[in-house]
Amino acid sequence: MKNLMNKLIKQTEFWVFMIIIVLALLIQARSGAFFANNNIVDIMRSMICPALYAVCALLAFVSTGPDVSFPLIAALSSYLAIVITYGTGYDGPWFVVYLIGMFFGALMGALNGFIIVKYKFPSLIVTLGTSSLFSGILLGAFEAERMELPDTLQRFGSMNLLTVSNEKTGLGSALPMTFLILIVVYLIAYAVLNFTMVGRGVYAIGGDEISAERAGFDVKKIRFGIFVINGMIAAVAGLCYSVMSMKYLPTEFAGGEMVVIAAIVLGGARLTGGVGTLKGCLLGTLLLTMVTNSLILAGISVYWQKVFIGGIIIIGTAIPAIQYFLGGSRGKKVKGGEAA
Amino acid sequence: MKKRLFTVMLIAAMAATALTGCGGSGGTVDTSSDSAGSADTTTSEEGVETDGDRFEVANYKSDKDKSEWTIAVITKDNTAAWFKRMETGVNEFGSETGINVIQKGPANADAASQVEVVDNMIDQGVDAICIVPIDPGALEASLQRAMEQGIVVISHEASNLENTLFDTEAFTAEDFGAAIMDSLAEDMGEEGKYAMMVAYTTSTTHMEYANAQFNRQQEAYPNMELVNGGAIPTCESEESVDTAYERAKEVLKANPDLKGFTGVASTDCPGIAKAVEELGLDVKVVGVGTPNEFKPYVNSGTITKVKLWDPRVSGYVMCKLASDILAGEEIGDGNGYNAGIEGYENMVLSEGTNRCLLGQADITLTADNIDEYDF
Repeated sequence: MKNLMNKLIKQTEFWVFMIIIVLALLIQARSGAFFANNNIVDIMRSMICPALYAVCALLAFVSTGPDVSFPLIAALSSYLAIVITYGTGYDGPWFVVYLIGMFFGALMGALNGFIIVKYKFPSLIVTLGTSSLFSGILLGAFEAERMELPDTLQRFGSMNLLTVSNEKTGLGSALPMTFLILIVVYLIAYAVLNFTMVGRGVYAIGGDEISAERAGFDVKKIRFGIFVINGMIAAVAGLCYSVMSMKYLPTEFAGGEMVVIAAIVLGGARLTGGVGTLKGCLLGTLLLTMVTNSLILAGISVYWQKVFIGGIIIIGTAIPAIQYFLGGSRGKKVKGGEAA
Repeated sequence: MKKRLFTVMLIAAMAATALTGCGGSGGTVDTSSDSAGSADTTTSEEGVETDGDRFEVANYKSDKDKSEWTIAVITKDNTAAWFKRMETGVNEFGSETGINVIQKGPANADAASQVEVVDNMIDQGVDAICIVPIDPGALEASLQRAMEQGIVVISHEASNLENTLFDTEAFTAEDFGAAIMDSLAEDMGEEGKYAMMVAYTTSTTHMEYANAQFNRQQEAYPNMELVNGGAIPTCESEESVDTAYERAKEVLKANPDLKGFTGVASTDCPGIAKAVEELGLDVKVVGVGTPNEFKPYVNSGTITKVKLWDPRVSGYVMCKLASDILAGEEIGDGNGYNAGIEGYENMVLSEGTNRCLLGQADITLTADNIDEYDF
């Protein structure tokens, strides 16, 4: 039992989880509406897109470095998928539209991967560059505007996985089918990262590139593959966003990357690479989504909301430092004990 | 070494041509291009009118017959539905008066392309330019050149543009905000809780609208109450329909007895309406937006009223004012100017950076009349 506690305390995820619990109780105490079934479902719904983006951000951070291009890949690939669906008059199952989007997402991710692997440029600079490239293509060359979704996506968007209704207030809430996509993506990512050689390679090349190469990992292939996969996940997230708002909204994607990166850093991913878990990434996203979606509920004014969110991010990112400090002093004690 | 010297010289030459190209694309004008950038320095070269004269309306009377006039309307983006609507008003004016009117927009909706269009129009020798600027600052030099050549310059949505004879606006932010509140109050039966959404607390006009709404409610509707202890605004949509939806839902959860909601960005009301529809609540939604985008919600009754101004009339008014100046009509400082169209019969002068003429031309769209507006 004591061992388990010790192990937990050492994990960043545990502390993030504790912050979530404490905040949830605080918000519940102030508003009396946090643990209502409709509120929980609302938060789950809001989490879908950021949590998908978070996988992109995590994979990039763990293996290579920051990737900030995923919102624009999402925007452009979902635009292309929707336009092609309109162009061909396609009206079959929704997942074909997703596959089209993923194809374009993979191409854009491949461009990122190619430049980063081939020329060894920093991923931040490369993805910043491709971001503005994609944004230029979307808004300049294609002149994308707000548009309605094709019928197949509209049908998919109006399907619900779960509908709840709050007995006290009579307010309802529905969880869209896209939540299933989120679960599937996480399950696949979890399995690959934890139970395959490639998955171990992702961590290895981020931790120490040279050692990983000597250990037999193909650094270039893995890195390139990660950016291709990132492109595909981004495309899925983009289509999910459109499906949930029942409209394609070209200008609403850009700028989403910063909150997502903050979320995964909260979840314990290290900016220097090699460290970060899906569990942490999910918890970090949950924490930020919960905070941004509960401050009005808790009656905090618009101006203070930003102070609050900033505060949470700073406290969250300070956790590893605190742990290091605590861990360090405990380590010394143990050593002292052994010596005596 | 020689090669490098050559490259440097080539670059220098290119830079030089690029720089002079900007200033001298007019070619025929003898005004010095170096003074063109700043409007407040009085140019004193021969043949150039002094700064005071440039803004003297009477100097712009045209000797030509009105059938020979050309009025150019330059928009931000001629492909946008908003400006297509403006074009109908401009053409209406043309066919009514027999004056030659053209509406042009830049190839790309950016400031530099718009400057190019203005310069082209000056070179073509138009008699008046009516402009909706993308970036007023970028246009000052070109518009000053236009005015120095005796071209009438009228603007719209440009209270901070210096080189214009008159800027025309549909209403003041105070009036518009108050009108939004009046509409909401009417729908709510003048009592109950309401909430407000803006895009960002940093967007000046949105906050002006929001404050005006609140002030109007305070003075006229004592039985209404802004949620959250009167904090303005209640929430931000961050220019995103989905964020608007999530925030609206949250506000509705926190205030189950909410009766009214206003949104002033085009993203706000669709998001609010979606939340209200999904939750099946009886909340009145009033806000700013364009008819086509809001039509589904207005027809379903969730958005009760849409407030805006009609770009068709704005385009008409600019042309009318320009033609009156060319005809030498007595306009004076513009106060009380009558453009002969509803909402602009008695325009009020407000002097700021320029002479700004304000109408009382906010319009209200409801399920009954929204089909009359196609933009």
